[in-house]
Amino acid sequence: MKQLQQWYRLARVALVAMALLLTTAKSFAEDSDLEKAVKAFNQDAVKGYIQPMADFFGANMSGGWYHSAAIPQTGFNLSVNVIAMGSVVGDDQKTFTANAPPGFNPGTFKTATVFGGTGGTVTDQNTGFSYRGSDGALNATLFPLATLQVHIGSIYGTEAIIRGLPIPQVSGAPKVTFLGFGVRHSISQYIPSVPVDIAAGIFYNHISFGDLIDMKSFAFGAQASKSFAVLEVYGGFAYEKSSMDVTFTSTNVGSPNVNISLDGANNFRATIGLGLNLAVLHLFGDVNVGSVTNFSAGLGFGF
Amino acid sequence: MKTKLLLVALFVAMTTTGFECFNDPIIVSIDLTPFSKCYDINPGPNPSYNGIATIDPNTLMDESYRDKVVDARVYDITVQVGGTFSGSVTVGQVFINDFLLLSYSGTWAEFSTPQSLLGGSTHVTPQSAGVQELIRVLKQKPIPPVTLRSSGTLVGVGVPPVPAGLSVCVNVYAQADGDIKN
Repeated sequence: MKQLQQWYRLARVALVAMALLLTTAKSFAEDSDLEKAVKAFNQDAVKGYIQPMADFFGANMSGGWYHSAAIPQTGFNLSVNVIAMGSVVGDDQKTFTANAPPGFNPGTFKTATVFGGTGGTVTDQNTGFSYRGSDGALNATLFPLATLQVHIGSIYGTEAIIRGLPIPQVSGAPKVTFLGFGVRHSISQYIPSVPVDIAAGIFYNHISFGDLIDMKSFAFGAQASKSFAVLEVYGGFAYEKSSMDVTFTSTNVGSPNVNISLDGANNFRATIGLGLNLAVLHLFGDVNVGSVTNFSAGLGFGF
Repeated sequence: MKTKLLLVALFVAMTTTGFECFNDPIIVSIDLTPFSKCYDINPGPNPSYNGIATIDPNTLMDESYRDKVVDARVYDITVQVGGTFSGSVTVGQVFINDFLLLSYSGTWAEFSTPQSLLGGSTHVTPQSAGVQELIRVLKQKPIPPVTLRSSGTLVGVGVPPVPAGLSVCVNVYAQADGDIKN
């Protein structure tokens, strides 16, 4: 009976999680404006415009993988988590230096990235002719990502993690597919005298937005945590790498098809977080420091 | 009960922060395919030439922007000649819808490489009347066709007659701003 109640609770959380994911994903369902803005660029100019997106996606995708380093050695353990990640959009990620047409003096100018405001304008000092950059499309202080994440274990102190975000094509907006896998292994089981839990993990994500964006990320790192009654402090270090492939037919007439690959800025992160464990309910939040400052928070149900 | 409250609070917090924010308007600046036309100069006794062509600006931009242009600008004009001629061109002019866009003059040899305003050429001079006319046209919905006319006079030893195989090519580089939220 108790087991049944637990499964019932898990099912309810899963339903809430899916609702949350769909609501959060609404912004992507409305992204036809984003696509239009991006597709107006040619191959060279689009790099600076969407580089911050590659940075933020990369940082978000490698966040939220853990909120404890305690992994039981054996037994059936399952937790379902709803996790939101967000990267801080700084002022320096709202503009980039673009090339003016050949012959312009000055030859470069500052204009908006996809997260910027009004596009910049450059005026040629000799002729008075001007040239303008496109406006940013997104007005956000935090670039988010959300996922449903399931942890399942344990075999010899090892757990598997699966995360995902399937959003079907809606009103012409592209289909969004987000899928990630991870494996974590308890290190502290080999060091009985160590006062904290220690684990190591390896993680992989793949996300795509229709045919426009295809992004992959890979991370590995070590984590530690310590419980104090219902509170749990956790943290870790990770190396990560991400790349975003962008493919589209430019609406700038005469421009060839665009096919570029951008690397995310984050390669290393330090994480510190705090969890609240209330029976089968877990609330957690952490801050991640690297080239991109990133937060993740969520709630999980599990045993 | 406590669990339900926490769930609702987290749900509201996560779905109302951050990202529900697209700029409005979103002005996208696109380079148009240049307004280009080459005019063949008739050989013979008349040293003056006058060619006219009709260009549909709609064909110079992706169809998704055709009813969204809110502003436009000209950012370069080039003139180049073809064929061999030892003389010069004088009173060269380019008109858009009969509004003077550009004056040019110089030796034929100088124009054998493109004379660009951005390149600092002293042989071509932009005229604001034509620039403003082009911007006015591009902001219309729907965008009507424009006429691009070029005229001038050839001078030099032995002219007339004008030798065969001469031409003048004009390229007008423009940029249009489309409001994609429109």
